[in-house]
Amino acid sequence: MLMKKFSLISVLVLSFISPLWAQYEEKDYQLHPIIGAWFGVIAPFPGTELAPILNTALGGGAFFRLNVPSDSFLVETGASYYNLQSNFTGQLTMVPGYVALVYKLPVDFALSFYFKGGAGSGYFANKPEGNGGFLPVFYGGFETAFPAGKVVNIGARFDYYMIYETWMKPQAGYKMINGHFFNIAIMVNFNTNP
Amino acid sequence: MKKAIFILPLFLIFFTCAKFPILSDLVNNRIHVILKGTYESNTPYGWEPNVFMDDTLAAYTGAINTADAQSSVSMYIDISEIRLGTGKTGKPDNVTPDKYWIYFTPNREVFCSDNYANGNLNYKLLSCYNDHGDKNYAELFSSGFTYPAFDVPENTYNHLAIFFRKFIVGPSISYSDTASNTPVNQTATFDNRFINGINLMDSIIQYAASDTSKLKPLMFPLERTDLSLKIPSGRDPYVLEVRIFLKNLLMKHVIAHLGGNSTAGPTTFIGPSDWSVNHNSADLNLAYQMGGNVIFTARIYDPANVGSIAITDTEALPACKSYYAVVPSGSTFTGADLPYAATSRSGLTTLNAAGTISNLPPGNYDIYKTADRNLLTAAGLALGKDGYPEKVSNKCTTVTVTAGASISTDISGCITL
Repeated sequence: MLMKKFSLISVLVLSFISPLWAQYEEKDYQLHPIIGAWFGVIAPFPGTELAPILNTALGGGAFFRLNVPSDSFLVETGASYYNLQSNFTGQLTMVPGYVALVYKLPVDFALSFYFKGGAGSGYFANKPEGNGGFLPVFYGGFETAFPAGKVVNIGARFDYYMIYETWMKPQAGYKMINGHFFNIAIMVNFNTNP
Repeated sequence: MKKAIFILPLFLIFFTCAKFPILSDLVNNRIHVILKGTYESNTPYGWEPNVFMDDTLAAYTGAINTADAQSSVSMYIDISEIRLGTGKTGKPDNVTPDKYWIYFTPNREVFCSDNYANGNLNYKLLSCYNDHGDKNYAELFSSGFTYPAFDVPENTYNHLAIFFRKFIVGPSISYSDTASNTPVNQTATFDNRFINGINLMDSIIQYAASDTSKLKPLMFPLERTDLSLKIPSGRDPYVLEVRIFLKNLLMKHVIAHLGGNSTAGPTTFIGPSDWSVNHNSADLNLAYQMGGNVIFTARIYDPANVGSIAITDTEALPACKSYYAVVPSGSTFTGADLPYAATSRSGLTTLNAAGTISNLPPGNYDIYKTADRNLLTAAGLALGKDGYPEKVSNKCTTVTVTAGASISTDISGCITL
């Protein structure tokens, strides 16, 4: 059932971007891969169940972005690592990974603006129970960056991760929740094919 | 590349399902901490009608030497937290608290015999009112108060510490002389209000007057390092039951205020009875040193995997609180510490006493009967009751408890006297 849901999402993403290639078949399309890394803070969204339990933590991640034959769209994949502590016994280690479709705002300006949406999977482990495993991740993000030379870009990003857990069958008397986290980070990107 | 050929990177949404919830575990807790103010682990007695009287009160007359009714006693307890540690000898001095203690209780809790909610707003005890102090108080001395707690790492904890912040008991009255003249209410502060009583934290955290062997305070924290509390593995809920013996142990004491201070008369107050070490009330220097009379125990059980023992016997004991007590088979029980589990005896003065000890994990248990020693002999009665059941019968019998079952046993041949 769940696998079906995700297959459906993948198909939707593919059908969305495939017409865009057709327009660009004629052009001399060049790949412009970008790799980058970010460093920043993560916290549970205020008002969510985990907000009173987990504290804000530092962490970082890396991503790889590839242009598709379109002026406005790119695809990106990334992963990050965070370890959120609590004031008491709880602790959450998370390594969320995602694949996202990126929309670049078509404005002629020194700053570039990117909006992202996607999904993925990540490794999560808690304390004190010590349970670990992979959970589905939904991802949304915003990024702004400016070029500092031909190769380097400097930017900032805001990411939202929804960790989907309520699909599991709950035990009796057990409250199932999803995780909602946001990440604000500074980042450095490198154009590998400037 | 004239004609670009695209191979769309097939980003596989890979999917290895976690076996158990991970994030939800952080908001669901297996541990249930149940704090009780009773000797009994289930079915406690009601309150004694009057508090016990210290023997030194006999030197006074009038109101000083009159027992206070339990209904006139007020109690305000403020517990900041409970902590666990693994050490068998306490926290070593060269280890930081963060490395030693498990902080698992996020809340300060108050227990108030009255929160003055219906009175003048200016007298309302706000934290008692906002945190349901009166409800907590009723639960503490009956079925138990569920102390909010987070799960703790699986381990065997020998050390449990209860951090009292305030422990105010009233009434406390000072008099101009031994004949109860010119009574003046003594006050202590709780919740930014003056209330009648004294803060026992000033006295019971100290050593008992005769005990110079202790190196650490006895009440802050109230702690034990020999508990061997094993957190069960798995995902089932479990109960950490903590019992502090306070109910039916209250005694009226007096501080003589004689000798060094001739202007002040005697002061009466209510506190735990001096069952362990005599309260040296006439010595001005030692009168506040009455530590060691508050004791507690703790145990862990899985509420889905327990049985009970239904006990009957035919020994009529005086109308004092006598108890059925069990300890795991083979362990010694002298009465100096609280038993593993205990319950009240219904019909204790008749020939048909009975009681059921519940929430016992499967295993073998030795059954005892306990009662206040002073009730059992003429000399003891002359000394007065202190409420502590230090008189222990011989081991009555050993029974095997199985999960989900109630074992009946008759211990009529087992005599406490």
